[in-house]
Amino acid sequence: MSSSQDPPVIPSTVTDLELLREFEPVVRFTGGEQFFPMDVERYVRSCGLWLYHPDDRDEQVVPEGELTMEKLTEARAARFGSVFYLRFVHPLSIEESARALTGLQRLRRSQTHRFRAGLGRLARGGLLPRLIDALFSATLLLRGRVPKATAAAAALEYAEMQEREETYVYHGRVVRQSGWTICQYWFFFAYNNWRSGFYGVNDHESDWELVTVYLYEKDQHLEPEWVAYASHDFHGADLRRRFDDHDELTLDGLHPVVYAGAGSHASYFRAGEYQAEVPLPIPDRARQALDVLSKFWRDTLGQAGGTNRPFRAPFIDFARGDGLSVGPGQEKEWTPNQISEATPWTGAYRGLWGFYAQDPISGENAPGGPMYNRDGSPRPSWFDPLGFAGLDLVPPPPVELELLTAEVETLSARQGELDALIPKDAGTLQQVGIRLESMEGNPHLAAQHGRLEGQVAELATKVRELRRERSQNEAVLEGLTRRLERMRAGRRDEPGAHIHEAAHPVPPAEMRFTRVAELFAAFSLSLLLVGVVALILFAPSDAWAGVTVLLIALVLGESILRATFVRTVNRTAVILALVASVILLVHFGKYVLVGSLIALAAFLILQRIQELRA
Amino acid sequence: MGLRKAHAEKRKRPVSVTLVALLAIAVSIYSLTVGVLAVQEGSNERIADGVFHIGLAVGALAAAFGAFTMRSWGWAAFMIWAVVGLTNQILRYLFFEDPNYLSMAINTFAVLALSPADVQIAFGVRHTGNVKLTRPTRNPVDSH
Repeated sequence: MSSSQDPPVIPSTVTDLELLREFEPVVRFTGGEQFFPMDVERYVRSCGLWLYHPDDRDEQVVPEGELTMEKLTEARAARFGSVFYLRFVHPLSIEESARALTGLQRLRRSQTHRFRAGLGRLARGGLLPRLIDALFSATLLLRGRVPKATAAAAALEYAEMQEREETYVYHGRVVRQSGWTICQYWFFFAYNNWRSGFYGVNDHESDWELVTVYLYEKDQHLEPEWVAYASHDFHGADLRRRFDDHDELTLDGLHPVVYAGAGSHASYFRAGEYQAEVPLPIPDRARQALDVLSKFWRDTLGQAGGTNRPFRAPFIDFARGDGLSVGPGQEKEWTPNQISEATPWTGAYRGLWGFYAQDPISGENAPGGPMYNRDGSPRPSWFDPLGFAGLDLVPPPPVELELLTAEVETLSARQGELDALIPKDAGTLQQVGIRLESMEGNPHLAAQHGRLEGQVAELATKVRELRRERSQNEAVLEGLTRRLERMRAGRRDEPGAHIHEAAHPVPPAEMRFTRVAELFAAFSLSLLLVGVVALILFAPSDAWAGVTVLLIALVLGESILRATFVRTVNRTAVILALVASVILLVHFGKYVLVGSLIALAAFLILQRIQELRA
Repeated sequence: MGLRKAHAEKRKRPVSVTLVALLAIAVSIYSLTVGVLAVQEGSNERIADGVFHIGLAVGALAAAFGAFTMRSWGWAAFMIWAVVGLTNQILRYLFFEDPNYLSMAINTFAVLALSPADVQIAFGVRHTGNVKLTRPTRNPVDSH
């Protein structure tokens, strides 16, 4: 898919806006996507400004329809614990909610690109992940959440806006740090409907996504080196790809191609369906206990598949790229909107950009602006765009050569110093050693001998440390020299050498009897619950035993469909064996101890006999 | 088939697996005896019980053969047997208070003997690719 062409020639005198336009991304959305990048001012004009007070009261500060960018950025005082937030969708009555949901159905039917979850979505996780998924959904009843009708109303409102004037906007920022020229493309969406629209994790009003292009200057030209996409579960260097990495990065001319997650709008380098994992809100102590159990399972019992993150709900992020494509030469083109620290709304408004759902784990609360986190603290991707993509320790290529040469020279000079110093100190050590040895057998020299011993120990440590330093320097110098030679010869590192963990699309579920497996996945949890109810009603005295048998039967039954029977039966057997071991220890602890001691004694006798016979 | 057999025979059988196979033979002999005696008694209920025990004896013997010859199906047979047996005994312990501790112990031993990674690899039910050493080996001349 990547197109190879001559290196781009962008003069370093180009204006920031021109630079942004040169590298603006192509964003390929998934069919069925309802929200696209828009202008914040247009959004703000449709919102009301609210203030949440610490005494659990919401106050309307500026009514919907009266809010302007000037009013938004006015300085306002509030008590600790207060939260300023925007509301794109006003609180809905039951009739309005019903109207919104019906309207959304009509809107979906009228869309050119439609969404289909596809076969296998439910069957991608086993019974435990589905149980965790159900628990996660249940936590939404306890946590604050954005109602589903709000998503529908937001989709209708946004569709109306687009009908009046269809625009696709990014907010571009150019910043220069440590020799890099950084182009940030901030995409603002009116709503994130991942949960309500695409079986995902969360819904919230407003959404910010970020694509960053890193360039360096060489011979008065700017050359692109890296591109970083904001994505779930990944941090630092794993977020970026090198411009010449044709396996990992798709380019359309000079434009990085982004595959946006349906509803979540998370950015991916390749089209596909991604498994996202969301940790369940469980207490730290329980998590620590699970970690210990997981370690015991993996290391002591030698079982495969133990994980340090067992209680994570699995979700699919659909980034198929089969929907609308926005960017240069695509179905729709961008309208750029340049921003910087001086843009009033970026710095002066520290509130949330949408509804504050009071969700304690924040998944359903709207995000802050590009400059701030939800709590108003500065956002690292804004103030430290290099560190955000793990580039703070990477110099631009032309600078790297200079730094490398200087480092090699410094280290070589130090090696020269050590070469002179080590023989000198080692010689002194030998001299003192001889003197020390000569004192042996002379009791009247005991005090001097003691003092000299101290000196020898000190000198020996010094010589050892110098030799260690020299040896380590030698290895580092070898690496540096090799790298320098490679760079001088114009050879570069592998483009993906910096990546520790990359997001890869999950292959379509490979399951036996696919349709049966899909049905089983859809109904097994409900089947289990119905079975539990039946046991409680008709065989209450055997309910626990029945539930256990039912659970084991379901797990083993599903493992046949998933072609993991052997592994599952082993895991089940090991768990049962551990329970049985505890029972046996409780009842026959004394005999187990006696038996173990006898066995140990027999083993030792056998070993000694073998030794004597040898 | 011949090649597979030769390959299975070449693999070294861990001592614990031999013990498990011997235990299975013992269980088989016991079940066969109980089964034959029950069939000889002649009543319908006892005949059914006897046939069940004879079936169990044949199953245990087959599993023992599988373990002796290091066949992957032998390993799977033991695991299925253990899951059924342990579920039965644990439920009896928890809810009916008449567990057979000997059966529980035999099954537990079989599971713990057959589950370590090296045993699974020897049986060919697990590949070496997904195995990680618990502790890295250390040469005594290494120092900090």
